[in-house]
Amino acid sequence: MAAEGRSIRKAARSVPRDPAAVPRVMAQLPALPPELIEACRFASLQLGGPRLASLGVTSSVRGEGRSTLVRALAHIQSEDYERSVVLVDLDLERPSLGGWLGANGCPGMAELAEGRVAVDDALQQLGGGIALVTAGSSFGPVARTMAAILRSEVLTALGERFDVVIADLPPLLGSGLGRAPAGAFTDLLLVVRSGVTPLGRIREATAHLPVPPAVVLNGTRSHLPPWLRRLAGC
Amino acid sequence: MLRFLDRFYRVRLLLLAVVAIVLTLSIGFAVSRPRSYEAIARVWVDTSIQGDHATTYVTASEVGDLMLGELLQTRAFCLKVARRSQQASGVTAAGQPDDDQVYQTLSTHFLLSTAGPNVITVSFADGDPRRAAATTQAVVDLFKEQVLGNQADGARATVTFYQQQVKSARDDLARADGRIADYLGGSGDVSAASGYATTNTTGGSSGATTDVTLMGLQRDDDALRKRSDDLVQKLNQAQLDLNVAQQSAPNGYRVVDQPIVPRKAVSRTKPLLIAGVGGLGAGALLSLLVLIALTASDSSLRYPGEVEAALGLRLVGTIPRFA
Repeated sequence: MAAEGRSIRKAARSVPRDPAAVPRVMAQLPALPPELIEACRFASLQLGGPRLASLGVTSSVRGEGRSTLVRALAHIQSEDYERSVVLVDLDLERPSLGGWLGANGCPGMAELAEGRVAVDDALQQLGGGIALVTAGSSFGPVARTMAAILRSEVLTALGERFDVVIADLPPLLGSGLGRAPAGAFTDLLLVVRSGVTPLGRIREATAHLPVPPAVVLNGTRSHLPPWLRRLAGC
Repeated sequence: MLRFLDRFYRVRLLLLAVVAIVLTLSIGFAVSRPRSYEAIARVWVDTSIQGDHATTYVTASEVGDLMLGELLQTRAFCLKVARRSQQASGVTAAGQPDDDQVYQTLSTHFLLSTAGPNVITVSFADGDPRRAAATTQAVVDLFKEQVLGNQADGARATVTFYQQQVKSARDDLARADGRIADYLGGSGDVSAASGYATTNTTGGSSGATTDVTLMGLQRDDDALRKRSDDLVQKLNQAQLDLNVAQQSAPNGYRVVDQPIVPRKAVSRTKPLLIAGVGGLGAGALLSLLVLIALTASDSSLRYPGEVEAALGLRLVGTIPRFA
């Protein structure tokens, strides 16, 4: 297994730092609403802006808007700071990022961790200085694949190759893999769907995380009339 | 409070629907009720219906109102009213209600009010106009009989009392007469003794003593005779009162307006207004309960300020919901 990790690291280092050299899958990312980008810009700044190096985006349960936020943050890092960004789909149980972005599902992190492909083969360029590594498809149980990913140097290699690594992590609850990859990132972002996720579930999810996550409240919407909002100061 | 208001604006259509449903049900219930007919009677009373316990603090109509109200709370009176009403109208209630139902209906459906110091208004509403009139008439009649009965009972008790008093006074008088007769030596001629006493009042010392004793006996006899005469007079008055009370019309009671069979049903405006206001109030209360339950059951995070307070975690941004 150590030999496998070394081979992957070697493969990763052999890839040139020029993102343009990575094979391009799509000429252009599907557009995100400008309001969403604008809202995420503030969150990006709070997370370190141009100093952000490694960010895992997670949530308590599924459907809280992780993937959308991952894309928006990648877009901001690329557009605002002109940094090279790699998106990593670590939701091995239900990968969605690749399909949503129109990328190939394989090869991805599973193949990289199992040493079946080199990093170059797994990277897919999405345009705008953003690359993607999908979850891939593992041969064995996903828990074993996740362990292999964390044991390997793939994430380190990607971090050395790109300015910032943004990972779409599995949800913390409802998946046995939720907390394991959270420790692999220097910054952790918890997406909370406003008015949906019960507080008890969020507390349960964040109880034993290795890093206290920052929180983004997604989908906030006040039903108060404007005059009442002004009066209440919200 | 903010969550409460936000929830209110979020589910306002649901809350309005709750109010609308309750209001509709309430008005629908009022509309679906059968039309009712109200028969009204007005009775004039004076203080004599209070008997010997008349008080100046309440008017005669208030006393009558209280008396009739009390009677209508008794099962026996209500059943009498129902029987008489049924006989008079010939209308039987659907399903032959039992005594409890009759009692409940009559004790709660009669409306009594005072129209002045001497006039009581009695009204009863029913789905059948003839039964409404007959029931009102039955109440008025039975109340009259009750007043009459009370007055007769009082007069009868007075007559009995005076009869005993007269008998006692006559016995005393007879005994006093006997004592005079004995004193005069068993002649038994009281009038002769009286004449003797009068003619010997100026005689010797022995005769004077005898005269004084006789005069004392006569004084007692006169007093007892006077008392007996007074009691006989009062007994005659009591018997007269009893005769009056046993007549068909009681003293101090007169039906001014007899109940007539109503031709028009009672207006629905008031019941509909009550149903509307009640429905609105009940709907608003139910909506408030729904709103409280929804707000209390919502444990999610909604506002940025709640994140740090509830989780102790740093909030780095909010993303509004986009349509």
